[in-house]
Amino acid sequence: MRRFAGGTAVLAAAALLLALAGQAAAAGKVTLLIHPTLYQAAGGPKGVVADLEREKGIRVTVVTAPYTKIKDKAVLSFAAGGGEFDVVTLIGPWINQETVGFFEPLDGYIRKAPADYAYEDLIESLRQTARVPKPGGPAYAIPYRVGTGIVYYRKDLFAKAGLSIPKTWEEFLAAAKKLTEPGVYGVVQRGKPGEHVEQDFKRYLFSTGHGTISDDGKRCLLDQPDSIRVLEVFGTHFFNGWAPPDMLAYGRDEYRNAMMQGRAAMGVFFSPYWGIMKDSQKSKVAEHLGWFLVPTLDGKNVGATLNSGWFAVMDKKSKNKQEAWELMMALTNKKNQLRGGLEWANGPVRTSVYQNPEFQKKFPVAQGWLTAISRGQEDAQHPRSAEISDVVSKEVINFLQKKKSAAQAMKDACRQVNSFL
Amino acid sequence: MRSEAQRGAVKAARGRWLSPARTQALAPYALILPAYLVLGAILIYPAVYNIWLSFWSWRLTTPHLARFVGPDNYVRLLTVNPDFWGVTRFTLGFTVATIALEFVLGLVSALLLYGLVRGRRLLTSFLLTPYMVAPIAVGLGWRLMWDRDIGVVNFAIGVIGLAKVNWLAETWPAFWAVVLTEVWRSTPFVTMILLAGLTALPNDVFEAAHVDGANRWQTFRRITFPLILPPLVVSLMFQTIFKLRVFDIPYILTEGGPGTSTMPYGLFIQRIYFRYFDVGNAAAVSVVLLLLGGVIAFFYLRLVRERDI
Repeated sequence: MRRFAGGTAVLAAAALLLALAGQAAAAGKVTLLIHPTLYQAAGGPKGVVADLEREKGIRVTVVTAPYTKIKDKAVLSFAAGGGEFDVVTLIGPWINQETVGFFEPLDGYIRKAPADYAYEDLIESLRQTARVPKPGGPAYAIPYRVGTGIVYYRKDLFAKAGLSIPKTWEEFLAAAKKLTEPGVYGVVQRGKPGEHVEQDFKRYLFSTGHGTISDDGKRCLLDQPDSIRVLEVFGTHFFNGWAPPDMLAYGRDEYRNAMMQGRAAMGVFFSPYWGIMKDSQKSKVAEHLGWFLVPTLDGKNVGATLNSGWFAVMDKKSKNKQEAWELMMALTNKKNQLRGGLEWANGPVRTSVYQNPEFQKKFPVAQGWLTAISRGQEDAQHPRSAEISDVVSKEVINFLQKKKSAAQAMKDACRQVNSFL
Repeated sequence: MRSEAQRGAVKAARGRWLSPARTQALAPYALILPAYLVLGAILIYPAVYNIWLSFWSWRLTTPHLARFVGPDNYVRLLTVNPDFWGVTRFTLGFTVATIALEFVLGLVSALLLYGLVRGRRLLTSFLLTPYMVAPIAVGLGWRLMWDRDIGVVNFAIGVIGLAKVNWLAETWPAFWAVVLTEVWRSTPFVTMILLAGLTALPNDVFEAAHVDGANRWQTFRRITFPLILPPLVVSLMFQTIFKLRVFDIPYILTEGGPGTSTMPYGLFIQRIYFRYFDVGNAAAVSVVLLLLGGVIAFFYLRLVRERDI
């Protein structure tokens, strides 16, 4: 009798396990590799991924990795045969001629997407970034989050100094000079090596209307007269003491804190920092914070700068492509982009979100963001973009350390960059 | 079917092969074999494979374009790479400066602790604290302390009337900031090794020296120092290898800057492999680092052998 009862229990357990396994297989699974901030921008475990499981029965396994690790993880997985991560979030420059070999082309999925997904509502410049080669190549990615360069400044200090909003870099420098006083630097930027100084300089450089290399990826543009002039602007506030003298040790935390602690009057910042800078619990200047678009050399096309977008790509070797596409749509559809922007501090990628009254009410800077994103462009989508970025970082620092003139630094940068093209 | 004679011959042969003497001789090798197999799998194979990779042009993003290039990676590293010699200079400078400071400070603190009659254990535990803190926490803490405007170091300098120093933003101050942070973190390790050596010294030698009228300096120079030389050299060797492959403190404090002035080999390799995905070049730099460590270890070991310490 006891043996019979034991056998029945084993059989029942096996049946239960089989039933559960069958249910899991029917529901579908998908693995997402994502930056932790981006995951929070999708509401974390209770946000988009929970909704997707509830509504479509797709269970998402989330793997998070910081900025410096996410590309390693993805490339190592792809190089080892792929299939580990169905969907991966990557920044624009990482989507290039070399890496797209690992990605699933998405045009077929986009064509079959429901009408309310509204692919055309995704900001045009970001949709173009997702296409390789340009122009008109296949889409390999869907934009998910974007930030751009924008000037955040102290309205109270501007008013006290009787300054109006600068439209040219010359006016910007004049303002920096006037705003500098004991305890307050006129302007703050980053000077630490790597992406810190390189990204901040590029937010100035891209105001010329071009980036580090030509659109066809064959020519370095750093030695152009306008690039050299912009580098001189970048150095002028540092050399004259209008920026912190230890700017070369400033990374993200240092330059953001300098502004939030009231030690700086303005700076070209990554746009999503608005949220933290307007948080009066964390920022001493929350109520005085204003914004204006990044100046240009001639005062025209103001706002053109470097866009920094995150994109979702699908692994070509994924065994769950339909589920992966459902996840990509869930992350980027109208409803979740608006929700992400309003509730989870995402930088939306849809025009309609920036035009949404509720979003504009919460973020008075919304129109500025949209203008800057529309006029800006992504960094070079070149297979050697990491090496190019490090060359820019090194030569800008050489100039800031007065080891080279602006012209010489940019000439040397181009000599090295051209060897990668 | 084997015949009785054949079976007897096999048994005899087996008996000869597994004779007690031979079993005894082979036993140690059999016992260490598993350890060597594990070592071979996790240490020797990767090292040899790394050397092999250093002769290839291979980017992780384009594995289909990988090709054998012989010594090209080394030639380019030594002649074309704009950062290699700067990185080498920093790594060697950092190693020499930290080792020198750590050993002077470590020896002094070990001798002071050794001389204590009461409270030695308590003080020793307290002194070990920096070594118990995670390097990332050490780096983040010191990054604030070295800050030009709000750092405690410049505050202290200001109290004695000196001008502020751009600790992390200028080449030489950044070098010393990285060195001193590492010295603060690692000196307790050296102190512990030397203190262990001191406490193991036989008392009768010191008593004899005292009876013979040797003063404290003579006792230290003629007796203490030669006797603690073995642990000293061993810890020197380990510390040198640790310093050559340093990564954490420079990464957190300066990220190798300003420019590449505080970039050690570790950071350089990480950049080439994980940012550029350039497997061949990263392997070549790793081999150079391996050789550098090997040469230094060889001299230490020769010193140990020659001095019979």
